[in-house]
Amino acid sequence: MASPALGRRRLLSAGLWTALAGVTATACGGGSDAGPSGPDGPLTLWSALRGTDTLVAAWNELHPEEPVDFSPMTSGLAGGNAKLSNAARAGNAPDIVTLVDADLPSFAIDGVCADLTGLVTPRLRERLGPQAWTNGVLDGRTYGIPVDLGPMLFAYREDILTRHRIEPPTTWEEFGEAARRLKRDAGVDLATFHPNAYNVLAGHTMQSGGQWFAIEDDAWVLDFLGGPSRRVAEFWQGLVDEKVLMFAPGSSQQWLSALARGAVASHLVGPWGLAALVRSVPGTSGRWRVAPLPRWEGGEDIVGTDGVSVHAITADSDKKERAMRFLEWMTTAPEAITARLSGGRSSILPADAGLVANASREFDTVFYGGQDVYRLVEQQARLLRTGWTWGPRMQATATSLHQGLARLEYGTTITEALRTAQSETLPDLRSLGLSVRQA
Amino acid sequence: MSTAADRMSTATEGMTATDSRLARRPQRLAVSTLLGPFGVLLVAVFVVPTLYAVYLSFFSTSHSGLGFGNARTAFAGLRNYTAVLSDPSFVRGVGITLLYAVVFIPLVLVGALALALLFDSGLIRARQLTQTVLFVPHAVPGIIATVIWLYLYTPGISPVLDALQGVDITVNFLGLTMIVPSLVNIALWSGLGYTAVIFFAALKAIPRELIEAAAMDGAGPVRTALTIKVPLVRSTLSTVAIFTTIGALQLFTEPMLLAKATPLISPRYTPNMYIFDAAFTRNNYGLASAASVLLLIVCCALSFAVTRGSAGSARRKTRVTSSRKARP
Repeated sequence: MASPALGRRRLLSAGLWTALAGVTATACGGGSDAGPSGPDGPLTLWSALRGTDTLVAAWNELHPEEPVDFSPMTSGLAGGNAKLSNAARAGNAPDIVTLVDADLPSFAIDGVCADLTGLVTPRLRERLGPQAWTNGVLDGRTYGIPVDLGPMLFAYREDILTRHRIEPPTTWEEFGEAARRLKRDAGVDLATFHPNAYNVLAGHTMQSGGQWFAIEDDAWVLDFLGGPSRRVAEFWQGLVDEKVLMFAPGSSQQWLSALARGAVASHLVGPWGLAALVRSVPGTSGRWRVAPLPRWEGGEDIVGTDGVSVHAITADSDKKERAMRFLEWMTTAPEAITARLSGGRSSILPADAGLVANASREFDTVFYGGQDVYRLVEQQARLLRTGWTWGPRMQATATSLHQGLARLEYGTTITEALRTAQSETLPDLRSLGLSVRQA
Repeated sequence: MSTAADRMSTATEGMTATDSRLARRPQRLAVSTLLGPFGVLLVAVFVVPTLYAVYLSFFSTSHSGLGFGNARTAFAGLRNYTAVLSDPSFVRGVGITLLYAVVFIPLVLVGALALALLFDSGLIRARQLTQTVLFVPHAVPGIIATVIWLYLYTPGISPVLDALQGVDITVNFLGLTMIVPSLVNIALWSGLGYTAVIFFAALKAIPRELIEAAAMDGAGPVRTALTIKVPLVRSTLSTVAIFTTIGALQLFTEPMLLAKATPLISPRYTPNMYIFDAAFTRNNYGLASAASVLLLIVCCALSFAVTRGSAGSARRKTRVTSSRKARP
């Protein structure tokens, strides 16, 4: 700013501020939330996952001798991640924390999450399948206990598609054709491209066989523009360029009102999004159906994941065994999933296949015309791809990608956004001393 | 920093030259009393943190291989500096800040000088009222100022945009090409009046005889302003230029807040935002410290260059004016 006083004060404060970053972070990490409570106190849990309140209430009723103290937190990108890092630095981290699968490597590298490999019981290991463990295991070590599975689905407005004699597309080629026809005949967008949804683009990339991050010979390999990743980028770029899709941020008012008006006829999302859709556009109840996500023609019959959660036990926790008992109950007990999903508050697909029937019972399918949604979701989950790895600083990578995608309206391409995201991720990893190379 | 210290030392020199030798001891006491708190604060809130930042940039958290479970604090050499300089987002941030500086600094300096000259010339009626109105935005904190402008920039809620729409003009102040102008606008709004007041104070200090002499020599108001007044407030001009430049390089509050309204402003939009993001989003204190040290070096170098440059030109100027004075 123009004022001398402010200029000097800024010079001083910037120096002080950044230099003392560590100290400040430590100082503001505290707060009123439940921190560690001594080895005999209640377990502390931070979570942004829906239904955790009723889940914890059910546990506390069953196990009053091992109470859990739950504090809701904002989701990772919205500030939850920063809060957790600060708390961990200050020694105030809770015993258990819910993380989005994509953020697990970052917290494992920073030493926030404990290595749980030796704590996972054989029973738990066996109850959750390989599709679930792929989200919680990094380089052969377990850092997160998966709670759900997230096969991407094609939720669509059955009435709109029928009216225009369009079958739900089974391949991406058909999807593109349907989008063109719907736009031409009805002026309706088949789907939406969300510039703020790296997870959706990643889900498509998983399905196509791409791999943004890979672990090879004890090194991170970045390949945002490999053949399959590029194919996904170019497919969506084509539809964006043809203007047959809506272009709007996920969760934006603009997009929600288009969904409510019927100006957009589908939503590509993981199982968790089905209950969210019920809440977002209640006025369209009964007109939605769910179908498998389209596949690549001639490609494998697989799907990618969209937004699943894992639970981590923090490295500083002095109640790891107790925390593990709670987590095993949370992921494998029928009463746990019933409590979490009660009243349709959530529609996650439990990672433990033995709980799907319980989950299904809690989900009111009126919104989806009585369709047996959970049966479809479970079938799709069996086709989930395993072996995807998230990057060591996924929040930064995601933010960078979102910046690029937001510029699509100004002539940037998805490919360009991916290239920038990769080049902006590298320096960060190098400065941490990680072994990194580009494919 | 250096300018404040310089001013102090010239002041003491002046005193020692005029005062008697007997006054030395109490004077020394006075100097240390007056400078002591400044020195303590300087060391505590500037020197020590700066050195700590330098330390952090060289000795930072290091991993090996994939990074799982092997964090340790180790000598990182120039690794963090290489990382910062090879980060396209940092380089782009520097570019944006330079663009902002190139647009903003001339505008605020020329604009404020023009306003001050107008005040001084007596051409403006209700000078004090005008001055106050121009100065008031400076009293509004940067955050509040940005919130006010954000309201005026946001389509749908802004009365200004509505009015423009009424006459068929559509401007997206938060569009890609308009972001820098929008930021410059906020900074001008809050800084112009303040800078003008500083210039006006400097103009007031010019001996009136000089102005009268110029008038008697037949110089009109414009000529007096450009060839008499402006050269005489040159040192004020260069001081303000330093602070404005440093302020511009540290651009933070305004884009940080505007970023909440548009995804086109990234969390690493300016170097200062890059530092904030590195420390608090990426938990990479080594990287944040390296970027801070680089920014500090650039600021110091610029201050030095401007001080040197203006000192040199001031000397030249005095020579010119004195030779001119000698001529008639």
